[in-house]
Amino acid sequence: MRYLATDVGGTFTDMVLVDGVTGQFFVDKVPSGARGAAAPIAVGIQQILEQAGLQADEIDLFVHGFTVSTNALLTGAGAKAALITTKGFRDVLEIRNQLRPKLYSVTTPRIDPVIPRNRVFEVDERVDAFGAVVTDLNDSDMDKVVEAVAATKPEAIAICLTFAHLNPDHEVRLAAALKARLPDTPVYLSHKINPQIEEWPRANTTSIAAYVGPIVDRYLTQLEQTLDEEHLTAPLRIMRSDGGVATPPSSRTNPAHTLLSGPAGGVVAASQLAKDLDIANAITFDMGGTSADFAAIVGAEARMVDNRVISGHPLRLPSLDVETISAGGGSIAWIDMGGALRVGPQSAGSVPGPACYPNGGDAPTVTDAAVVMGLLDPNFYLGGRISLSADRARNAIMAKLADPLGVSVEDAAYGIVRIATAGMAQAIRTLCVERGVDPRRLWLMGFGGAGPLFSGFLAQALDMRGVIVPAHPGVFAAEGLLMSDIRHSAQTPVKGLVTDPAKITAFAEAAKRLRDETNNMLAQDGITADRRSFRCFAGLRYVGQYHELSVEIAPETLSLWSAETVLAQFHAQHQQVYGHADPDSPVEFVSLQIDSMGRIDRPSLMDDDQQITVPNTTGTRPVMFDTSQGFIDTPVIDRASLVLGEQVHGPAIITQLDSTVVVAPGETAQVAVRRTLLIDRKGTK
Amino acid sequence: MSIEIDSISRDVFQYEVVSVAEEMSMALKGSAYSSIIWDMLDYACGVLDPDGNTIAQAETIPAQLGIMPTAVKRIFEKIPLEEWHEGDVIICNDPFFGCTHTLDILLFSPVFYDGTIIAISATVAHHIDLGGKVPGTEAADAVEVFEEGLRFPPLKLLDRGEPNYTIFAMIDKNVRDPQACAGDLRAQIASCRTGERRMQDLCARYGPDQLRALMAASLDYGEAYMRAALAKAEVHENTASILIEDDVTSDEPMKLVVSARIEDDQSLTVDFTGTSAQRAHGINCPVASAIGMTYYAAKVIFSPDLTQNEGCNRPLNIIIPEGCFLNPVEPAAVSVRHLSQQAVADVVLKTLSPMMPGNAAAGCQISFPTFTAGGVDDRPGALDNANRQPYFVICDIISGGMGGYSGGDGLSAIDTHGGHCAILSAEVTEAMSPFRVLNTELVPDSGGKGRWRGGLAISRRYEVLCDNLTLSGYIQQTRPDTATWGYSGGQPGQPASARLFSEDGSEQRLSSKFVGLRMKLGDVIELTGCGGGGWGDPDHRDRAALETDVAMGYVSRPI
Repeated sequence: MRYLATDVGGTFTDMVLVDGVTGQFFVDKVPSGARGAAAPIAVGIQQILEQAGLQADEIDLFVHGFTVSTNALLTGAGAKAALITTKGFRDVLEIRNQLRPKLYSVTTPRIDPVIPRNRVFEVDERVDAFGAVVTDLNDSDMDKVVEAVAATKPEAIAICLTFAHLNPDHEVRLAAALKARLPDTPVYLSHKINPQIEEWPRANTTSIAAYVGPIVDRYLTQLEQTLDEEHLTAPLRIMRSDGGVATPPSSRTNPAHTLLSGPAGGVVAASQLAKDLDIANAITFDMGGTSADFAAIVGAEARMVDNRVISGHPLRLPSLDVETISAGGGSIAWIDMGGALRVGPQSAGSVPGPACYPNGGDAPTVTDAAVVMGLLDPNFYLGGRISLSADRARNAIMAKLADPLGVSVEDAAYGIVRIATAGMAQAIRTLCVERGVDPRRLWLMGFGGAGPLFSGFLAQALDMRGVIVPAHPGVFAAEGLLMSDIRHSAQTPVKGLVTDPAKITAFAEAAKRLRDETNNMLAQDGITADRRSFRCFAGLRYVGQYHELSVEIAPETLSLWSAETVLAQFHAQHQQVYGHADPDSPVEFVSLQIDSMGRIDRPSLMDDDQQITVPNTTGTRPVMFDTSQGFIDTPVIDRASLVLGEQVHGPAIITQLDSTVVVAPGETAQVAVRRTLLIDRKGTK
Repeated sequence: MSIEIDSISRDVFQYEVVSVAEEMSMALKGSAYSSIIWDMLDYACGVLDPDGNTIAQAETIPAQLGIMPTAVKRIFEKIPLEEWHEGDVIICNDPFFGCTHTLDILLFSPVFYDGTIIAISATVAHHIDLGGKVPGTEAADAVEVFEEGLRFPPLKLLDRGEPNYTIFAMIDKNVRDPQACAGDLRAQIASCRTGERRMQDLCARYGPDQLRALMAASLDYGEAYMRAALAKAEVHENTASILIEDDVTSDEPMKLVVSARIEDDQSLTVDFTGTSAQRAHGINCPVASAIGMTYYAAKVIFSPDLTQNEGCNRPLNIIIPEGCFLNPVEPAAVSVRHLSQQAVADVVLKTLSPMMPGNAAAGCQISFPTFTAGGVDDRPGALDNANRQPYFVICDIISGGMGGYSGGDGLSAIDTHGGHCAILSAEVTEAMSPFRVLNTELVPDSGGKGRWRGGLAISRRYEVLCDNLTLSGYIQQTRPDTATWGYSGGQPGQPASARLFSEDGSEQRLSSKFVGLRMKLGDVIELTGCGGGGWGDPDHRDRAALETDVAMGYVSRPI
């Protein structure tokens, strides 16, 4: 098998090709071109095929990650969508949950709803909290609302009626009427997209699906056409927010699943690498120019959450638990009114970019600090693609920080790194503790362009065990695309005590129904029966409680129900998450989720048998690791020269095309499986 | 003690100590029993220096900002620091001894390192019930604090690590949900212990002398920042006042008056002299809450982006005459002080706004429309797992408009200032209780006109679906003289209201406090918040903005 993965980012598109026949691994980066266009990918495909000496039709699987839907949401450039609600709920998207965006500000602008108020329509109908119809949906009202919606010429339509997750009949009828009147306009129904209680998150998630749906559809059509022209006939798979992949038709059915796929690839790759390294728990740290993503790997598995917020918009779909903080290489350092050095949240981005960039700005950034400290080689940035100016970096830091603070340029540069690190450490520590994970003594896996550069500082601030740097940190997320399985998930509300035989039967029947549904989807995806697997999760809570916990129900428990097993699991999980459990209280079902996976062949990346053709050390340069020792003459080592088991004692700088790895004095880096660098801070296991 | 601290080490330390407070916050939230902590975040955690100054506080709800230092400094009067031992946890909730209303219980514990106290762990959490005349303890018509449940003077809840079972036993017999109360107290203790451990870690790293110096440098920085911000004030003196409803003891509203002045040393005096006297009514505001909301308002105007510590408050000189309703004397009732503390925030913001108009807005809603209802849910579908009709209690808080500000319209549908409470989902409301939310709508035209108009209020109607229930609630800003204020030519927002539509077709406008209403199947209660005030002359409003207002239906017709 031969595999090709492409991960489209804001600036670059990362390409990874794994030749399962020869065991070779190829990487490349090409400019992403215009936002939202799929065509520039053709250049990347041609380049990497040429590098590998392969023809397009020799590729067996093509996995693609893209950010077009996320960008549409972030920049407000989604489709012109309409929403239909139950009478009285027109303002569901405007009112949100009535919380303000910033606690101590009365001048922060509002977050605009994805569908404006003049394209939200009400229909007179009502279902009650038990699924019974209170006000029937009559045909003349329905016709009126369909005409009103049609008059706005929407590109997509969302429907969210009260309690539709319990009784979808009115949504289904309304959709049929819309289909008859507007046959080419996609309609997204809340009971399909997100069948869960609470009208705002359900309406918002459904509206987002409608908002990005036409964008995703256009992008996929263009992509399919481009792949056609390149004669790339391999099956196309699309990355999802939950770390699975989907076929193009399935991505079109619920386009909202593509929204958080950006950071998912890196996390999937990280959990696989953790397994291969036999490391159970780690924190991932993916740092780029403007932001850093991190996630906790626990038991070599990435955590999942059932909702996320993207630039103020809640999206209630299962996704990998990845947090983003606004700290990157482009984060700007400044001095506040009280005389404190601050870093971010403003970023110089890639335009104008850090002061050291060819057309860089005047503001000193984290990248400028790294240049002054000697961590980055101005002449070998992004593999020499960009040449940086150390003078401009120094001047910016001197004028804006060092002079006003009355310190040296070097001290100010190190100050930027310390403050940036302290800010990230605080955010990561808090978010880890919130998830019940103590980052101390864990490994930090650094990737992305800037991850390996700053991981060491961060690991030190968080008192972590050490740093893991994958073989190709700059294209790690693309690697992850090749390690994902096809995934479908389906949910439904359920009700009753876990000890009530009648409810248990109903639960098992509902589980079977969802399993059959998703099983059909896998069959449609062309996944053979032997490659399908299923996981069942019950949303459970104590009677009288509001929050639910997702508990995995083993297949044998599902077929031969054991209330004791389920209860024991629930109490234990409750104890772990909330710090207390109450084994005497009755426990009830709230929801049911089925995750169905279709296994895809994965490339084996364990092969370490690559030829070493480059010399070990390319020279030395002065590097400052902290101010107490000043500049130390530090060996610079080409990563391609290192073989399995080889050790590098710090101080050292290890360079490669897509990143720079820092090994501080006292640390030891060792090459482990998959050409991974393990940088041990403690020196002892 | 002459350790030199460079500014970058100080700033790194500030992140580290905020991290300790955040971790305390996670520990509290992670083991709390009650949804008021889980969902409404009505709690706070902080690290104080041995003098009782807050070094760092986790960001939860603004209503709890700055409460802990006020309380601990009073506690020192009864239990001086020399009598604090390792393992102690000190409890207090006395509204007349540095605390807020009785429901907010404060716990403090000393952090020892090598036998000396290097810091104090502090938490405050709102408990769901502490006894008193009504479930939930808050009664607008309470006349004295003695109707407001248990009151703890400063006491050792744990003495050298040993629980004082007398206190726990008294709590157990005097609150309506002892399990929740004890559970939330345990969560607070866990939070204090987390703070102790993490501060000891920091102390092990820096050493006690360096740690003390870092804390002192952090406070100095907070002070320097605040003075630098005050030095930028565009106006140095201003006076303002607002009115809020009483409607329990009198139809005469209560007045809040503030004179503010920036002195030559860049300090800010905020003087409440002239504010109405206390009344026999739960709306009195304990002085700690009045001080806390003054801190909040000063932060909004002068330092919204600053990480708060006690140094930021050093340049503030707050004068609240004893006996006025913002510094009431025993035995004043105080349980619904969230109404008056919102008013404190509003009047201080109104006074300070001209000093730094770039951070200010016109009057925001402080209407706080809320109700609590309880009864038996006799809907057939509501039978519990044992086939009984369940008893239910439900509470909802709805929002109004924020004021317009220079450069933007006020936000619609926001819970403002001290509060940060989500509206209940209509579906969850109907699933949990016999109430059907008929609508939740923006109120067109409710935002005050201005160059930048006020945000819109919302209105929500609830239909009763059971045979009978009892409902109490309250609301402010129901009249033109108590509604939001416009700024610099902007107009006030439309007042709030509460109305009752009976099943027989009659309609009744409710007063600002309604206690013990009996409601029947088919009755509907409607709550409407106040619109935000407008900013600047309405004639200067941008044409395109006017057109958008009409197109979106925010304004019903062209002006």
